[in-house]
Amino acid sequence: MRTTLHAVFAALLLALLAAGARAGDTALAVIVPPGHALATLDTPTLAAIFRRKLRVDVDGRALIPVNLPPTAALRTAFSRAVFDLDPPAMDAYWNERYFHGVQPPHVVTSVEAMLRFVAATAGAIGYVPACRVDARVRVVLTLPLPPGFESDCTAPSQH
Amino acid sequence: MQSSARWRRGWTGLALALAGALATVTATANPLANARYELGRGLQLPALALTFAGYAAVRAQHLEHADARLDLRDFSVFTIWQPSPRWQAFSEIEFEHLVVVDDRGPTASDIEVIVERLYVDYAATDTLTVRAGRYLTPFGRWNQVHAEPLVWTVSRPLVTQLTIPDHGTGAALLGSVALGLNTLDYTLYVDDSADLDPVNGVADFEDFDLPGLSNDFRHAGGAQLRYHFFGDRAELAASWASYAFTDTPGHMHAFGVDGLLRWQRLELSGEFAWRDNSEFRNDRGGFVQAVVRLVGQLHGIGRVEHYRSGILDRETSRATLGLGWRPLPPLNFKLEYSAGDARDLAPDGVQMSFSLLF
Repeated sequence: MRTTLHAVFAALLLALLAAGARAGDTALAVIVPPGHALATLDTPTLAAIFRRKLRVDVDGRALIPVNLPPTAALRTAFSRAVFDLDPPAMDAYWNERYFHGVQPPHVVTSVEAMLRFVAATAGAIGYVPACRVDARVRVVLTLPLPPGFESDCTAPSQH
Repeated sequence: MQSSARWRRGWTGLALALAGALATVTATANPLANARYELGRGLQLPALALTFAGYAAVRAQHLEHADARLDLRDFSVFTIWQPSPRWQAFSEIEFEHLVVVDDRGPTASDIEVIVERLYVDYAATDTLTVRAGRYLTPFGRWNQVHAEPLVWTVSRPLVTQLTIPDHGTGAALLGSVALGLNTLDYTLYVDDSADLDPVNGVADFEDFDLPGLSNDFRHAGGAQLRYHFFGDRAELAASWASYAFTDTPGHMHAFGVDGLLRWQRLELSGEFAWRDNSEFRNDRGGFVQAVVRLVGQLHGIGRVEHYRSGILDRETSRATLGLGWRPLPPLNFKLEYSAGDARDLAPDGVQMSFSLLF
């Protein structure tokens, strides 16, 4: 009887852990440093920040968006979720902005690099799989990943 | 005389930009810390809050009633200095016709140094920026992105050259407002080139040599609204300006609309303008252009245009067919043939160019 109860309990616990991992890897978390003035963010404002049309907050502090590389799956997922465009489709936009002296967002090479950069940079705004958020950063917006995208929550250095 | 005045303005602008950069360099302990260069994104010096960027273009032409010609036509250097989140200074110094090769052989005697843009921006709020200096006139779309690497053709549509001067000198208010998932960009500007531009009256046209037409404001005021929608795949804009030319009598009122749609392999664009000339017949004109991605990064381009100049009392229609190849985002190869019914205004012929953002 006790062995059966233990087995049922273990199975339930494993099922709950698996469900938690699956929920984490279908969402994308928009993150800022813990002391950032932003409490929450909506998608249109996030889009304006990542298009570099909104470069200071209401108090005149720099807003510093951070991207993953254009070949990263999570970057593509973010671009589709926010702009409904893949990264290459924005090349013409960034070339025109360059002509007007505006650079695209800073690029880091991995999710871990994103966490470190955002945690250490006042005004930074980035994104990671929701399951990779830790105490170094604060979440201001959660977006569902587009269909076909899932993040690996167990590999520390994957995109 | 006018050419030497433009040289002086160009070199003065370059000297100001370099002086500002030098002052920043000498005041910084390690000016090259975290320096990085990327093709198409310039040389960034974060320790100095400086970025050096720009573009270059080589053009070859074989037009009716003219010799074949190879021209290192544009070498533009941007200097961007952002010492604080709210402040940014921008300059574009352009060197034109650095080397020209025609039947006389190579020559550098046609070099021009031009201050294309020189302004300071202050981000007063998150939706309002105040600009002061010399800027591209916000009328239509082409004029504000006219650099060779950014546009699909070598030749420039007539309506984007003849309706309104390319540049203003004065002040502007600009910004961007979110409207749900869409965006509205706005610009209001005033120009006092007669008093603020030391070489007012010497601006020429990009593709033409047109005595009798001015490309300089004396005074101007205007506005533009640009609406981005459909996931930023589409734009629709309206422009208005009221102005006087430097060397042409009368007062002008110009109205324009332009649009852009990018959908999968297709890009459609067009601009239309109408101008009331108090002393002449009205100007009116426009173009429609289609670009189709054929294979890889090879594109086919077709454009039809029409323009009537009330000042010249002339009108012309023209068509352009071309190919464009963009192997990398900063690189642009073009080949085109244009033909029209006013060959002395816009000669028929073949043009090709290679350009890059560096």
